[in-house]
Amino acid sequence: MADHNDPNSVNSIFSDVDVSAADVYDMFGYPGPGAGEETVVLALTFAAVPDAGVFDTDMLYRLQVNPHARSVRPSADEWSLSALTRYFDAMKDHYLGQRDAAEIRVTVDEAGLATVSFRGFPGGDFTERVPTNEVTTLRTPSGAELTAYLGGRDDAFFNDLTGFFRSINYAPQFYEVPFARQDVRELPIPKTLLELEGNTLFNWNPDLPQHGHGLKLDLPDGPLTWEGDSFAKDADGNYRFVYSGEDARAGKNCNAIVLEVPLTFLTPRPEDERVVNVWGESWVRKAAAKIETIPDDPLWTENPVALLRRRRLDDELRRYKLVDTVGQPFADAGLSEREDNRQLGASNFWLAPVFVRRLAHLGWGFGPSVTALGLASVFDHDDAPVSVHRTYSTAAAAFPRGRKLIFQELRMPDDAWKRSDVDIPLRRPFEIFIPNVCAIDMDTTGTWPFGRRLEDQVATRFLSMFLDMAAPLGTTGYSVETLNDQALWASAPVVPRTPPNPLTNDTPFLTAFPYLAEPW
Amino acid sequence: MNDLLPTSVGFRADLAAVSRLRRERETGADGGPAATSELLTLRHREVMLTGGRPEDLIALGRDVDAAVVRFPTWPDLRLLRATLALAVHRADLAAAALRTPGLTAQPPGQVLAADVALSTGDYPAARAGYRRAAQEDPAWDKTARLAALAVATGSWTKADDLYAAAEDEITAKQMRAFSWVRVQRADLARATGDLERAGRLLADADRAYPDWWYVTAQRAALDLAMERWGQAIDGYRAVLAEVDRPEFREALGTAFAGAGRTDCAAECHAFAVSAYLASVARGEVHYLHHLAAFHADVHPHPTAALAWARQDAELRRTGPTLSLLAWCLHLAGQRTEALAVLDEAFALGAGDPALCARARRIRQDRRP
Repeated sequence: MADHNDPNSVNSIFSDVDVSAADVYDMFGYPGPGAGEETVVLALTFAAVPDAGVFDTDMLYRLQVNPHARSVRPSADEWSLSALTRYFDAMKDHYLGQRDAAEIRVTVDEAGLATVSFRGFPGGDFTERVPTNEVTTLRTPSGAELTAYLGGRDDAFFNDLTGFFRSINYAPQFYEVPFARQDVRELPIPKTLLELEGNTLFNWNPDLPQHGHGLKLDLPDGPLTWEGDSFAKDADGNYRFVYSGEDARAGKNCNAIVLEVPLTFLTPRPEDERVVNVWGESWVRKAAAKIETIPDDPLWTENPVALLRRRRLDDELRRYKLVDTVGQPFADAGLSEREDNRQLGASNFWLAPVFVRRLAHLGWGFGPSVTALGLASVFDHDDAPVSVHRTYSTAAAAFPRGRKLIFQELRMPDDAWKRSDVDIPLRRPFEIFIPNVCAIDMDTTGTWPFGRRLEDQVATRFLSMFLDMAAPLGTTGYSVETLNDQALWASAPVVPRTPPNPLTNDTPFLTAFPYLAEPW
Repeated sequence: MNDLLPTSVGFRADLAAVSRLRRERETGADGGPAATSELLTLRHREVMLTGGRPEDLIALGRDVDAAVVRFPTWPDLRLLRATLALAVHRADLAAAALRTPGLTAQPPGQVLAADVALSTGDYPAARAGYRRAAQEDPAWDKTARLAALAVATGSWTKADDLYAAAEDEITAKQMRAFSWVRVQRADLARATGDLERAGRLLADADRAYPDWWYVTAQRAALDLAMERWGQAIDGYRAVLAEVDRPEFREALGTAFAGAGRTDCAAECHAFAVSAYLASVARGEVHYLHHLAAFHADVHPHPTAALAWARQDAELRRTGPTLSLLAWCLHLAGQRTEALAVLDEAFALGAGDPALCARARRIRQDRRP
């Protein structure tokens, strides 16, 4: 047996990853609808694996909750990179100092019984075993009641996923990408809302309507770039929209953890701490923990290095590996480029320079296509007639381009988002995405970006960041809902004349807990 | 690649799932490069699960060669070709497969290029390649490779730490990988003389991923090392019932010999040597070191052992090949040349347990 134990000889075991139940989809959070005691609705959705209503018993889902008062941010006359950095530093201290404060953990056993643990809340620690796929009332140590549902539901997300991937020229949605080509993800082709003339890799092909909708072609040999100089137009002079408005998640399920919790359970100062930050995480059991009944676990007795590395975690989390986090929609998919090592959740402060560079990169792509549509772009693209593929190696170089985008207030279409007379500043992109949390303002309806309600079309609202919210538009001006307005598209020089993403979910949400629709 | 993977638990379930998937892909294969590559990858997975027999790997390599001719620019086929070549000690073919522009610029290609470096004794290049790949795409397999490199270069304590770090990244969805790493740690423990710990680690491996012949073979090897002849015989018989490879026959023969069953031992050894020689006659090189080791330690014939060891070392000058060559030289009474070969091995940076043990005995002028 001279040398048959080398890694090569068992190469087939590598790349052996199957953690799809760890794919967290969305984090929803908004003030509860009741008129009485203030409550917060929290809903974490994730892949329905092994099945809708059946949880993977190797998974641990974690919701971290951190109520606080509204943050003080840079004043309007100080929109500099250094001010932004100081703000992130202050927020980082605030978060990292408190991030262990409160959390909810969920595991489910083979019998379908869930163990739900509440830790660090002022309302007291407690753990309950609850059945899955049923609405359950939990009583806290202080006597308060929480409502819980853990089970299968209709996936509450509704968007044109293919359109999004077409807009960023994301090859794996359209092509069989070789394992060897880990560099082939977003191709070096300008991001855009409008198809580029000659972009044969990603433009809609009427002969292959399913391309990108399940049909993948072999990645071609040729250059994976674009050399054109204009947006594509049809015979009538219309641009071709990269979006179709179709719901890629129609008829599909998720598994979900839905909770409705009294605000007084989350914070002892509900009158002051009006913003409830929440983010979700998925953890998968480590292999060593799977066989931990072995009396003498060498990992503990013989590897002090590993032991030290684990010390920051408690006994339970040491047995799991963090896989995915979710706070803000598109914080990972749009801004972090889905990198595994960027799954940081609320600790994503070190990504601030990455976000500045990424937003500028996106701005060079989307900005000119926004302008071509006759809309006001917030991104300074030097009046580029067509989208540009440009990347930055430093935040300092990118910042001047993206400054206005980063700091602009995201206007709301009307005042329906306010639930009280409290003066609540409009949110700005930099404070939405860092930290990567769902920040629920209890004096609002919790509609994005003041939380996230189920009915929010967040994919389109995300795109609205590239509009110049200070520019005039009709009688109301721009807002996060502008691109969701069918009337705008009806007169736009583009086909199809549709908002980028569906305006509503494929099935109505419920008016009562657990709010997410029944599974298909 | 992940969609190729079974979600079942345990060796037999995994094998059944891979076989089923392979059959499905064979039926539905559209002939394009991605589909062809997926099918061949599944076949590779199946071959490895069913024993990784060299003849199967070589046959698969021929099919991959044909696929490369059809789809010369599809990089996964070249990676697979390199993997198969390395498994039968053909670093030259592996290197040739990787000689495609850009192929080693990404972590999968970097890893294989480092594997080639390791298999040719270029330990610094292997280390640099693994580290670069680990930096760009951190995952347990790179850590495990760095651990294997640490074993090969004499950093045994560090190696076990690295294996432990690799384990810490492996999830409950990757129990075969976990079991494999535990086996490597057991092998290291056995090679460094801690047989009790090796046994415990193998028990972990078996519990983590039941019924895997690979663990059974390692358990039998440990029994052999501990001169538990009866258990070794049972173990190798169990392995051979699943995977008929001549080196397992040889090991079974050695267990028989230890138990005093000389006729059975001779029969097994004759079968193994015959298979080794047939392989060499076909122009294959992966059994050269088995022939050398057999004639050095099992059925002493110093001249033959030295001839085979020289042939092997001419192809690849690594810690293991030079260690064996030095040992055969020593057994053949060529002490000066043996010491020179040892120097060459250590100058490469090699320091695996077998090399160190042989060096100690050669320098003490001890023979079996």
